[in-house]
Amino acid sequence: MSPEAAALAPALVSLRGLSKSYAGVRALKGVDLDLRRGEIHALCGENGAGKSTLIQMLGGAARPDSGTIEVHGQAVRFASPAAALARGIAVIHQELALVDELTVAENLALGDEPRFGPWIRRRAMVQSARRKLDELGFAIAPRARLGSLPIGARQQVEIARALRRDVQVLVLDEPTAALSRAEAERLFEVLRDLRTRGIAVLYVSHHLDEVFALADRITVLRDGSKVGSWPASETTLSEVVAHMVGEAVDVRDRPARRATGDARLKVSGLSGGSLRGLDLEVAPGEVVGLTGLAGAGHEELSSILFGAMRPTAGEVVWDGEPFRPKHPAEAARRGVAMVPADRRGLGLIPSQGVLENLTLASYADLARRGWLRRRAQKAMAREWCARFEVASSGLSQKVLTLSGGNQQKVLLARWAARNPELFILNEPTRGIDVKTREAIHRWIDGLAEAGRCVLLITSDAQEMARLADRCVVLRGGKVARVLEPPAITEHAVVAAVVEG
Amino acid sequence: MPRPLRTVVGRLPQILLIVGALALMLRTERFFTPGTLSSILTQASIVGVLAIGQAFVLIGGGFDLSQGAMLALVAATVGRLSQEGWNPALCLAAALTAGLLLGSINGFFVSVVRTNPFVTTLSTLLIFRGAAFIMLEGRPIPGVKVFQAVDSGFKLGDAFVSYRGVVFAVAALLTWIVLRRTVFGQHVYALGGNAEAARLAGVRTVRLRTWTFALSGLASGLAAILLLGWLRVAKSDTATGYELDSIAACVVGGVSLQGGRGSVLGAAAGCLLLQALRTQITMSGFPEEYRTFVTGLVILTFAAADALARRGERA
Repeated sequence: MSPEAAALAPALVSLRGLSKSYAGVRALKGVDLDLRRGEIHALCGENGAGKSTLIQMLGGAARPDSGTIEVHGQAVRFASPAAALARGIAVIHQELALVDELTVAENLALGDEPRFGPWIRRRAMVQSARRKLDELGFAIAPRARLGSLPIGARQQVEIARALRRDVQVLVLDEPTAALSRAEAERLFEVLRDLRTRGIAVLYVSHHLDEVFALADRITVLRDGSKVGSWPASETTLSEVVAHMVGEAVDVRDRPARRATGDARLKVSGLSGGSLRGLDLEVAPGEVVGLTGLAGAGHEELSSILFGAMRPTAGEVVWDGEPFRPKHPAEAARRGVAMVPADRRGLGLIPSQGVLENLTLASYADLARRGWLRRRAQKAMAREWCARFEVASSGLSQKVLTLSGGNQQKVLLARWAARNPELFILNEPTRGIDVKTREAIHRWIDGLAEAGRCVLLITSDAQEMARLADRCVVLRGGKVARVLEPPAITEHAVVAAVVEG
Repeated sequence: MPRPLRTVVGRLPQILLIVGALALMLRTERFFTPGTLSSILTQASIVGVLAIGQAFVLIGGGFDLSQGAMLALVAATVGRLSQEGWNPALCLAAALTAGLLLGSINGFFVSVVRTNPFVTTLSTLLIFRGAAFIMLEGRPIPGVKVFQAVDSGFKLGDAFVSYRGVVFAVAALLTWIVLRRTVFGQHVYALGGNAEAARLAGVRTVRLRTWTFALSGLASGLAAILLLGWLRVAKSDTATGYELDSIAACVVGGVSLQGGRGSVLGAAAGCLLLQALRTQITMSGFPEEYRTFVTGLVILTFAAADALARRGERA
């Protein structure tokens, strides 16, 4: 089907006025979207623009607060992803939903195996897998163990699995994040092939170059609202960036900071994880921002600097001395603090209360000969709860029952109480309400004014523009671009990240 | 869920513990006498000491199946040493050191090699038990008298209180304070609550986890001393299954198998309750055969209550 014909075709799936709030924050505000037969439709937007929320509702993983989803003009309500799949909508997430220990054929048949009584008809299962893979042009052996395949092939298996039902809409969330260039090209061929079969593809990606290589239409979301939809041929990459960022306040609303003195943290040629020879310097009183697309390496830097992961090469000098902590405890002793992005998984102790969670990193300071001084511990917790304005019912409140913003404040206070010299902050305001976000930003300003070194790792371009004195953009584990004021605008940061 | 109900459900294990204890006490007149209570304390003491060690491991997010085997191997070692003519003080030191060492082996594998705690201690259960067999060449050593001094007690009013019971009670109190009040203890709770978060907060998790297992070994050594003092026989099949009793005591006492929650006093109370239940069954004239059955039922009830309590917490 030609793109022109596709544009005239009636919508397979229509979203009308879709809205959704999480904990009072409106993640999606009345979004309309049409998916037509035989089109590749790209969905673009910054982090937090509402893409994931939209996919979740389309795929049946979440229910809209208001608005409707229509399939073939008929309003539907999805109680579960299985219900969405039954109506022909399949979602392929970044994290594949396959079992590594099973073979390709077993994965394809999982939950719907050809049976003879209680037994699986293995030959029929393998044959049907082979048929499906051949039909899609995937060169994968049905008997291969899934875990032994490269990631691109595993993703093809997931696509084949999604298409074993009568799927009309295929949603892919950041499908190329973990793929090599060649694997990504292969995926694009597959998607173009699916387009000719009349399947509607909703393609969610940060990689705008891919979007323009692939998509027929582009829809941009910003702050939960739809900015617009355009045929890919009638818009340009820089226009899309502009739509994503919006009427950004491209003036920095704070005076420029001057870093005082020489760099205190010097990273040279650092490799490990996805880092491939990173160079970086941070001076006292300076906020250095670090960003990039998923997998660019900025996520791993903090683990390496903090002694949670070993580098394979390179050198770090902190405070004039070589810095190679064997474990986080040593990094903490040297005056380094690290707040991870995954608050629940890597930050908080869910079984404990505000008191323990806030003071956890300071037990040694609060103890006399190994005995924890309860009064001092409580005093510290109270003082820092007050300073960070943590809203809790008391120090014994279980930490997970706090709001996300207050959880984050507890984590920041845990380290602030130690008064470290270098703060490594990962996504410090992700998923946090506006008021708390501003409070945290002011606190980070305060750190810089007090002469601390701050390494801010964030995928939030607005936050970067607000805070960073230098913005380092990574790509493929190396520094791709460095922006300095006044060039650190939201627009420039987004453009640097997506264009490379 | 309305708030009062949530509070009740959230404390379900503790409420069950208290109600269970009261029910047992009031069930028979003879039960609620100093003599009976003191004898329950005595009978619970050996598994009770193991339960204390188990509580450290469980709260730290681990699991120790090798306690009974460690106890047997320590007992066998002491049996041999006493044959060599070691004096009681040296034997005591040897028993505790041996326990600590055996526990450290578990700790080393779980935290440094990172083998699964279940598999690790299942293997060491067999290894330690087998080592006890080899050491004793299959023959028990009777008449081990080095610890016989422990097998006595004193009069307190009408009741006779055994030193074994005292050791258990004092150990429970001391370790309870250690766990609640020291940096080490609070780190154990953090470790069991979220090991990776604790590590990233600067807790030396590898060292700490090794210590929890080492303490379980130390508890096994102490239990071996109490058992030897009482039975005066070193046998390789001694204390078989005690590790399950100690885990059961912890579960009944509200120590979470997922780690991060519970207390030593809870574990001790659980141990006493299970022992009281057994005594009760015997005293009320039920056949012995019911004991195992009822014990299992009680443990499952407490595990279910704990699961329900947690569900309330998340809501």
